[in-house]
Amino acid sequence: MKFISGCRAIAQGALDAGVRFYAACPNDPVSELAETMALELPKLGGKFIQMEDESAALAAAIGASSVGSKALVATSSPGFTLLQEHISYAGLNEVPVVIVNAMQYGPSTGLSSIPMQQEVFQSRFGANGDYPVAVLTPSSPKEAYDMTVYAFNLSESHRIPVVILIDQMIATMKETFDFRENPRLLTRIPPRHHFLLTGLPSDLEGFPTYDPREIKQQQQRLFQKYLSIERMYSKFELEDANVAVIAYGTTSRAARAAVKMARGKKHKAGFFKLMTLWPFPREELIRLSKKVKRMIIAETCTSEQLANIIKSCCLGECNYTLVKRFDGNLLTPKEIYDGITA
Amino acid sequence: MMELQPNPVIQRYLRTGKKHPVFFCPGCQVGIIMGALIRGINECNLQKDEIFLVSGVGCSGRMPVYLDLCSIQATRGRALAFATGVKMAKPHLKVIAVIGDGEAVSVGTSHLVQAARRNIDLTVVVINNFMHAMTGGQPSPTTPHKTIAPLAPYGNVEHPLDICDFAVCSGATFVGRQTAYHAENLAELLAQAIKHNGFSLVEATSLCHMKPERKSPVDALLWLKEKAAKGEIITGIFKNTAKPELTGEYEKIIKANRS
Repeated sequence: MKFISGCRAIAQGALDAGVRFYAACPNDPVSELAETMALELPKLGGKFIQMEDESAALAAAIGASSVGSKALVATSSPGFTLLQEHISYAGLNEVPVVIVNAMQYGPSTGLSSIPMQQEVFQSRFGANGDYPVAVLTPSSPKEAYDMTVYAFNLSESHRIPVVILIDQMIATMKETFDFRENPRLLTRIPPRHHFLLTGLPSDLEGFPTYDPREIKQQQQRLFQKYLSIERMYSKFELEDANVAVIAYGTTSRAARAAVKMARGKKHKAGFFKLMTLWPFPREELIRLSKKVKRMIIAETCTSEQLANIIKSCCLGECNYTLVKRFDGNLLTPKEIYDGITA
Repeated sequence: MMELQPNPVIQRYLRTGKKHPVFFCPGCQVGIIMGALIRGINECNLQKDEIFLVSGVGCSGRMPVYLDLCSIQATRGRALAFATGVKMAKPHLKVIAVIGDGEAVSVGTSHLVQAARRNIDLTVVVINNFMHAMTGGQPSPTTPHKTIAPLAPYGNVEHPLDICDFAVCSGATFVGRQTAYHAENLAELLAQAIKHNGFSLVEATSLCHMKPERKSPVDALLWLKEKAAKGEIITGIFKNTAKPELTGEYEKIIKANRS
């Protein structure tokens, strides 16, 4: 049993997953993650480097990954904006890499000690072009550990960038849990020829191309790969529910407590927790919206980003109640409970 | 009539699967500099698997398409950040980065300064043609004062930066300059830079003969010759010193702490 923070859990998960390269850029609230990697990587023969900015950090990670080192980068919101161009690059060039983004209050520099959930869209559509990227949303240090190991396997199997989307709360909170013993890992097959990665549209050998058929083929392959990513979610008390709460990350902790409170008062409430935010578990939510009378969408976001996606795929199927908070504080179980009973 | 024979040294380093025609304009000096780079690599007795090539965008960025080496064509200006990752992860590789002046001392400035300061064993070839050539000849940070160019229709009001001076100040341990006209000297300089253990920068001065207005490729080369003869383009080695190299230093940490 270990009593560790989300940052330490991710660092441990990454080391257990075989990470041997970490490019850092000082950034709260993930400083502890970088500090752990700086200390632990040389002991395993791995490499740690502090780069000049987040964009350079992800560039270095892609460089390291392209020559066979599993690589991790961690940052928080403004830094995540800086490195977007290279998520697009890794997606196009099919370079496996994992990026941790600890969401904090924004816009602009914001404040790194305040958790918010304002990057539902930035994590998927932050850079130019149509590129594949998976976004995972753990809600506790234990889940962060498990999902980090899973993220590396997913990035290797699909050869895509994977974003672990946490927030300041998950990054710094501590929890007691057991590590998985010897997780199953995917290993890389070395390239058979002198490869070429390029930011341009390219054919199957990697050469830049202007041929519409080859451009279409590449775009189709990338998109099919994205669609084939498994959508993870967990259901709680949904079997007989007529009200379903939907949340992810930090907010899902309050949502679960609110559902328990509601059940205690004989309300037929259930909880749907999103663990893969992108690709969005669209089909599953459409099924759910047909089953329940009302959906409660809980998020700490001013522009209702999560609610916007859910409404766009389940339009008109049921009623919605939005429970949101954007003053820098977390949603409480009581606030979500009030939404359920409203 | 004399028949042109393919040069066996050059052929050895070219990709065979590349679809033609080549991207460069006929008479482009990037081709001459690529030839010099191949001769330089060849002189160092390196296997193709021991070299990793990184480039950026623009005309010089297309070099990895033709060279049969493991390579990355990076995002604009970030070539040295990618190269740093490659070199850190696999220090046995000889990492060469080819970038243009529009990247090296504009968007990529911080990467150039930091890589030089770290003294990581990279060989950086900056192809300096004093402009953003691919996009039409707009001014770059090396464009001379008062030059008339697109985006500077009344003359460039800014002052140029000397890439070699800048590299020396940043802490590079090997810095030199040659022009595309002096291709053989450039090849020798590149060989020296590749053999150097530490951050090395070679400025390959060139002139685009297509942008902003067309001139003959021969005139463009003669312009370089003339400028070098007058001392307006100073060629040679400006710095060649030894300093502990980054990946070597990190290996020592690994050796001392490995469990």
